[in-house]
Amino acid sequence: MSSADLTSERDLPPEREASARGDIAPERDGPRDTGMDDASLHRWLARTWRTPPGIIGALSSVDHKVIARRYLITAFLFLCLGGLNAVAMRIQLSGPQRGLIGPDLYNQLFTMHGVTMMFLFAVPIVQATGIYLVPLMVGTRNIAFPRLNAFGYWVYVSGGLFAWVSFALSMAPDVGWFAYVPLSGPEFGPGKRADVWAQMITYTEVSSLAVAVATIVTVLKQRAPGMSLDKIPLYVWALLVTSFVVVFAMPAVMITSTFLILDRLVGTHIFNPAEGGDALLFQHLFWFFGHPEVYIIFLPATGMVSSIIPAFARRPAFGHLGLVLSLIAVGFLSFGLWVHHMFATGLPKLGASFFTASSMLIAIPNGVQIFCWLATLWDGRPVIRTPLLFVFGFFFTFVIGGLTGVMLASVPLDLQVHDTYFVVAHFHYVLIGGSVFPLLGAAYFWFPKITGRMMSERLGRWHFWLALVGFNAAFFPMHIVGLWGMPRRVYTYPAELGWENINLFISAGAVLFFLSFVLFAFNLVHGALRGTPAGDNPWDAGTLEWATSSPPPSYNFARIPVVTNVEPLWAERVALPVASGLRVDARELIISTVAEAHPDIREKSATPSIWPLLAAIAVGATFLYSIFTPWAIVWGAAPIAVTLVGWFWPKGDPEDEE
Amino acid sequence: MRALRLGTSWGGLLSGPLAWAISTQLNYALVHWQCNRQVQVVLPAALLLAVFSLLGGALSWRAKRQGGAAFKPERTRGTERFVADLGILAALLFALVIIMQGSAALILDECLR
Repeated sequence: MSSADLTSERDLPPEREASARGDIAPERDGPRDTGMDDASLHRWLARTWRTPPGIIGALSSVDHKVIARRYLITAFLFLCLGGLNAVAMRIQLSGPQRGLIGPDLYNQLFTMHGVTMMFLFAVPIVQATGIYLVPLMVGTRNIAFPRLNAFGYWVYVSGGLFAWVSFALSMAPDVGWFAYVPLSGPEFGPGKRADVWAQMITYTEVSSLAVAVATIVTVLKQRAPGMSLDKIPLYVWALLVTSFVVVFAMPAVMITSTFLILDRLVGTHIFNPAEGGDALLFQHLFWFFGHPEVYIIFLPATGMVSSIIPAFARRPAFGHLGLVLSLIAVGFLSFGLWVHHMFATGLPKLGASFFTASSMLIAIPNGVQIFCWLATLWDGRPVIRTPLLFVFGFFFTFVIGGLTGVMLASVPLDLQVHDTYFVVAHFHYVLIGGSVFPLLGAAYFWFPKITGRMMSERLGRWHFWLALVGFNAAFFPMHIVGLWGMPRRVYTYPAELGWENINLFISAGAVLFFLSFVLFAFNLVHGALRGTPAGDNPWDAGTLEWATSSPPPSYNFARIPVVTNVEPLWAERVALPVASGLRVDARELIISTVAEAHPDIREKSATPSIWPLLAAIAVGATFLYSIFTPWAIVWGAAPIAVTLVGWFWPKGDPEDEE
Repeated sequence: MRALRLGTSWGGLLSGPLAWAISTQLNYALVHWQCNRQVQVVLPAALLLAVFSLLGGALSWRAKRQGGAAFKPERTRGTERFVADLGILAALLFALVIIMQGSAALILDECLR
């Protein structure tokens, strides 16, 4: 396909009569990029798409790259905080009867560790990576609903601050990351701790939902011309499936947390069996979210692996169809496994066995993925660099986690090791092996794109080996101590049980693992400041994000690429075909059809606005206030309404044009 | 009717997950019923739903055989074939999961807790 004016003109005949209707400004036609020389094009686009200077400008930004960078940094900070929680717990457990941390603080520590890692680190960071990469990979200029995306970030920050300020005030939740009733209910959970859990969950899920919706629309409607369903990069497929899982899973936990706070604050008895409520309902609702949550974290990581492997194996991914099928199948099946978290609750054995079947068979699509990746490496000429090392670490670790997962899917074994360190070992192998290792690989892989500089390869290798050894030293012995019967969530243990040596070893491994992150943080800062310049495509990878400069300009692509292959940059070595016909004086995007990505219409993208921040502050204040009184919802509605009206009030921007 | 005659590429993508979701929910709910009445319903329901899943896969198969773009002429063949392949494989996978779920009724007693 050659360069051609691909945007359809049928939505805008130039002679069309501009009729003013209400507040909607008539469409004006401005200068287009067709035939424009590169220098003028750059000038126009830079002016149109820039984030305004100054503090207000920065807070108003709707650029997906700016928002994603903030998201990534914030999530990394929460990772550090959650990691410090873990180190504190490991020091306490390094010997029997240690008195460093008392039971009350320990309860807060493991709850904050779980909550932080799941809700403030893992989900936000995979979504943030998506916010940065998806628009670049599908060849568009901004994410869909950019202001909603900005709003999502601010709500997330306020939720995280809320949780950690509560912790600083010794008011953090102490009921475990899943806060089961009746422990978290009004009968056994005095004070505000469980309320903090409930509202903080609701906050962060609002943010996740906002990002998921923006991602879905970006993938389905903003793909570059020619990127039909069979040419969508696997990472983008992963984010699409994940976002759908978010949309269907997160409301379940928001309902759970809302029911909980209603029980606690309003005096409903939804989870109170004494008054006709149902305590088990909490677990059903929570795990209907909780299990898909694992895959919300894991699926984007598989997408990262599917991006890293082809780039270093020097060939396209083997079994593209199988990999896409696996993503879709895992996305669906993730909703049918939740009861395996509840095997110990006395459900009918036959009913539980349906979930055993699904839990075991989800290993098929996951196994298909692993074999496709191995085949890609087998058939390619692998270049071993740090990102690929982390992918190898992922294989090793995740497969062990998967195997113990299949073991735990069997009811008899699950009942034996329920609530022991065996389970702790399993899910850390799955979550760190399945998500953190790919994320670290992705950090080395895409860091040059984000900053324009390379991270140190030598430090990267040190980091990898330190992380792999530290992780396995910390978590493998937990399988053993779990089989010996050491329960989870205990702040100490007596000396006569003989657990002290193995626990000391685990703590030493945890410190090693922690040090690997210190090294990683140093490598990040060092790379950003002193790294060698990366160039546009340092790995010679094939997807569209490498077609633009590093870091990408505010408008991503001066001309929208036209896609002819699943690895467009490998198929079009000389020059990427491009589309033209977009206005340069307004933020215009190509909206394309869902299946074929035929360019359909031109659409305006939202301009920077401070209102998403104000709306997030109003929402945050309402949530905060609502842990004290249900009337917060009534009083908070007014400022939220005002900020939303301000947000959507037509301002005569190009995006308001009909 | 045209969808049945010419095939529907996304048939299996719809029928597989749908049949599996119904199977999970329905059979979970039917366990109590089967325990109370001692009538085998879990296994027949699972088999029926597995067939439903496969029927959708057959529609995808037909769409692929007919050259793909039969139903919507503007579709390119590659996209249609890709979706049809996904449909066939999804139908097979989900049928397998449904049968595995149902076969639990052969081994376990419905009243066992």
